[in-house]
Amino acid sequence: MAGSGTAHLRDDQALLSVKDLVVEYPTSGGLVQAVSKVSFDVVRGETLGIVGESGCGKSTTGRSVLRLDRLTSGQITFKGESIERASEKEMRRLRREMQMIFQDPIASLNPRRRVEDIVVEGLAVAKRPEAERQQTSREVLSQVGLSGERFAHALPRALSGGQAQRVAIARALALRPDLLICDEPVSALDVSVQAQVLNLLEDLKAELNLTVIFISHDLGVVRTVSDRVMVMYLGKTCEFGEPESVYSQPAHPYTRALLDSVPQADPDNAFGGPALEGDVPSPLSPPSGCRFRTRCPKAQDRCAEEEPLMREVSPGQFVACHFPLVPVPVSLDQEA
Amino acid sequence: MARAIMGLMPPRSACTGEVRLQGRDLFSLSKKEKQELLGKQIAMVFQDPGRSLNPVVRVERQISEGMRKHLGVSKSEAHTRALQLLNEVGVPDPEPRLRNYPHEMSGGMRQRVMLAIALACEPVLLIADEPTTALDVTIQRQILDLLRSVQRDRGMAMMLISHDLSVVAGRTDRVSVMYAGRLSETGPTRGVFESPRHRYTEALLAATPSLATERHQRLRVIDGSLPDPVSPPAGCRFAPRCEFSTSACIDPGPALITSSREHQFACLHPVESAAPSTVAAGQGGH
Ligand SMILES: Nc1ncnc2c1ncn2[C@@H]1O[C@H](COP(=O)(O)OP(=O)(O)OP(=O)(O)O)[C@@H](O)[C@H]1O
Ligand code: SF4
Ligand code: SF4
Ligand SMILES: [Mg+2]
Repeated sequence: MAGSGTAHLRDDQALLSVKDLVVEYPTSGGLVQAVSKVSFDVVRGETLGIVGESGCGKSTTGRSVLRLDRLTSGQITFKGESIERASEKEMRRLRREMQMIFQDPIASLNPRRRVEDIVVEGLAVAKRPEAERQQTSREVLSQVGLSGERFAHALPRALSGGQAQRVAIARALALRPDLLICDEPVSALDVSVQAQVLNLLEDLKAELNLTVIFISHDLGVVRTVSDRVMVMYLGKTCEFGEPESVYSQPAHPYTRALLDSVPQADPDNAFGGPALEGDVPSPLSPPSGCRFRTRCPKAQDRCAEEEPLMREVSPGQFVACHFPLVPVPVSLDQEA
Repeated sequence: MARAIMGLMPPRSACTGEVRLQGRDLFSLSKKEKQELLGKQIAMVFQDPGRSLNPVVRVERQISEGMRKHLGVSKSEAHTRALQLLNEVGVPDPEPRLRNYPHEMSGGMRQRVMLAIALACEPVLLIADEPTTALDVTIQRQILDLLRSVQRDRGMAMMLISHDLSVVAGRTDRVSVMYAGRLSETGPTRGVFESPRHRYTEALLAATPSLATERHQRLRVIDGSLPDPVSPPAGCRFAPRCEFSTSACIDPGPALITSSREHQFACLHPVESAAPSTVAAGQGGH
């Protein structure tokens, strides 16, 4: 969006719903507007992919769902419960139902504990009996393909990046979460190992009926795992929709530029279109109106004055742009 | 490998073989000759411009230092040239930029400055080691376009090193695929991408999700992980992870095979291709 708005929300069917989320970080240089009125929802059983370049607020958005950062404003509803109003005690319970895995798998594991104990850390905190912990430990390790003696007794430093990420996934699964938030889970892995972990996540999701938020800067990866995709730019939403429509018929100029910038393994056709000029502006003083306007090839006066709101351009595809790349149907335009 | 060419290897590491630049073997040069050559003829751009630029020295001095030392130009000429270079690498408003310190610039801008420094002594070869890995896609795109256009305009040779096959695909004339320290396949970029012959190249291409991969499509997996560099497996180093390996892949291991003109690969059970193959002299997967 470089805009805001909630037209794309599916409300009552959603497992998680985020409305007008604002997160700001006070720093010595001023207020960082990390996330500014972002809305999205995730329906049970689907994977929402969040893409965008570094600093656009993907991680902040993910962390906010677990309330790991202080929310400046906005509403987050998970299974009908309000996250922003929950007490610390309620939050501890809710965080078990929403698990998060991170980019750097080895750093996220306690270096002094054995794998079999690491994966049930959450159960230990919840004071579950020893027998249940052992049982779960074996179960989740076999679910992520690390069964047997060799891994159960290993310390994190003996693991490869891919194995460590499997352990982190097992630890998340041990709490039987409904929602799994994956923040760049494969970005630190070698391509050949990345495919193993992506396939594993897909299998587990189907087997355990998980709902997933998948954060990544890699458009190819997001395309393969997602049922819905949200494109972010500088703390705002640009586009939301099914991957097929967003990738083949992007409506937002930024989505178009992002797709055109991805190098393709095709010697004759390395890039899809022209390069985008300039740099991402500072989140300390983002541009007025549409935040993408300083780099947008289609920007006009109106873009500086008025922030675009999300509206539907084709069934299920929403865009926050005054001059989208696909024609806006008249009937849908009036709804917006 | 790039570090070996540049003579940046730690003193205890062992290098064998020959590296030739314009017919001269780099390993047999004296230290002084090598320094002269490296500063002037070969230049390098690294992954992380934040770390390879000097944080406490202004941009102008970093660009002009090499020129003044190797080309012996005057201070005012160095200034003019520095401005031209910043223009060439697409830095808007170059005059005030010259007074910047690296931390005052964005990642993309720092990479442009790195390139300007690398170009300052008119190198004949530019080695770009993962030059865009730390950058965002839209900025990566700008830098890749820039590298290619500078390379063509100057008629300079460029060695582009990347873990990302697609970065190499559209930017190079020839490509060499390496696995665990050995050459798997080398040839014209188009030939290698259109018809990969080595089983590792093929598997790597199939394991990489692209913009056209279907929703929830299973990705081709390469089982296992990279071998321990201290004791790499005998024969073909990819053998422990290769679905097509046979005992011959381990002993004697593959020799370098030339398929079509200039396309070579070291694989005993290669991917089918229309072009006929002939076994070339040589041994091991080198
Ligand atoms: N604790 C913090 N204090 C100050 N600023 C922060 C903090 N965390 C994040 N930011 C800033 O907020 C913005 C959004 O950051 P965030 O980490 O959410 O981005 P991201 O999209 O996840 O980026 P990346 O792809 O690099 O992980 C950035 O400008 C970042 O510098
Ligand atoms: S056309 Fe205007 S509103 Fe749309 S992306 Fe460009 S600057 Fe933003
Ligand atoms: S030489 Fe053998 S083991 Fe190596 S890649 Fe070819 S088929 Fe696989
Ligand atoms: Mg992040």
